[in-house]
Amino acid sequence: MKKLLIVDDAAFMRLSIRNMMNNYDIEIVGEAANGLMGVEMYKELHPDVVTMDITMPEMSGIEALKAIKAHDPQAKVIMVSAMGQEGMVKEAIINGAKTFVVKPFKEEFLYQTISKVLGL
Amino acid sequence: MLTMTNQEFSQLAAYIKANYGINLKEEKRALVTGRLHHVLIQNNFRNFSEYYEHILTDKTGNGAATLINKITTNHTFFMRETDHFEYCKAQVLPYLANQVKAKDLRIWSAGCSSGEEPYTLAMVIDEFFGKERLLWDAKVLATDISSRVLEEAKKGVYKNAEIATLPAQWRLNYFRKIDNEKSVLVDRIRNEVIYRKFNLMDSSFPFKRKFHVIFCRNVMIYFDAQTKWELVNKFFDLLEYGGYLFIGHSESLNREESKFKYIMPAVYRKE
Repeated sequence: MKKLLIVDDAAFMRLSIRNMMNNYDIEIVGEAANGLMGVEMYKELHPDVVTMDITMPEMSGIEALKAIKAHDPQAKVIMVSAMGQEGMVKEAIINGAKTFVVKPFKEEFLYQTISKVLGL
Repeated sequence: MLTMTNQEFSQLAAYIKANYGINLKEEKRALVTGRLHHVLIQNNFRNFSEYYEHILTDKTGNGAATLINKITTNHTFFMRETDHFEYCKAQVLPYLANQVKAKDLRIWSAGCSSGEEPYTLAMVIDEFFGKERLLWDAKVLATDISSRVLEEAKKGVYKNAEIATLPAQWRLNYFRKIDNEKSVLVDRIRNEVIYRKFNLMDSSFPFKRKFHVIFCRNVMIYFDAQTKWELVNKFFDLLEYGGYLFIGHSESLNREESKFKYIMPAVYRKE
């Protein structure tokens, strides 16, 4: 079972992603509520893939992405963006994010995206 | 001065809670007595029990309307919590201008009181779009529970002292002086706001299409936690994805429970 780390400051969104992945062979190994926590949890939990929100307190998703990539250049990070954040998504891709999903998204789409990134 | 007994206050408070969602705590008793005193005298009620009986039996609804007009406080002024309007201009409107291809913005000022908030929004929109404004349908829906304040708001007449805090450019472009005391908003702005009487406690919300922005500032402070929670969820459902909710600076949504994404103090987004 592949391990997913969810990084999002909104508890509602963390829960949504967790529920969406219930029906698939993806294990949620951790939930982080800001970028800083996300980086720490990545180092500790070694997930196969990360869903990374963009705007968060403490440390933004882009800063967290950079820190994770510096620690593990192979890290697979999917950016979770809201509408109107095209510029930030571009910056994230330049900094090593594998791809992105735009909220709101359906569970099949999220799973397909994760599968593709993991080469399943 | 008439006094209000414990029982009279509880009765009235329960009635207001049930019908309007407003939670009157014990410390508001003197305020409520003061605000209703004149109504009782004018209508020859001997005490608050008689008045309460009248509210319950009055089929015209006028009694209840007067009561709610007196109870709801209407502290508001132009550019209240200015950073909200600045955020609108710098972030929200550029986003919507780019996103909303049909060029119809749907903005709701819920609890608009005497009109300062929706008119400020109309001015911000006008200034943002400039000449492009004509290409957009960007009327602001403004609702309030109090018919008295809505009538005031529609007139668009304000004291010169009240608009003194506005940018000089706005006073020049959007207001016409009536005399040394008062000014009136130009029709171009006045016509951009649609006023409707609406009770946020109504079980069904009669809106056909979803909103891009909802302002509901310093309204929910009168509601208890449950009522507020239900209303915030309704706002969430009524917003388009990517839409914004603005609440008062003294208010906040529980970040662990709310479906909204926190953007900055008192600004939330449906993502």
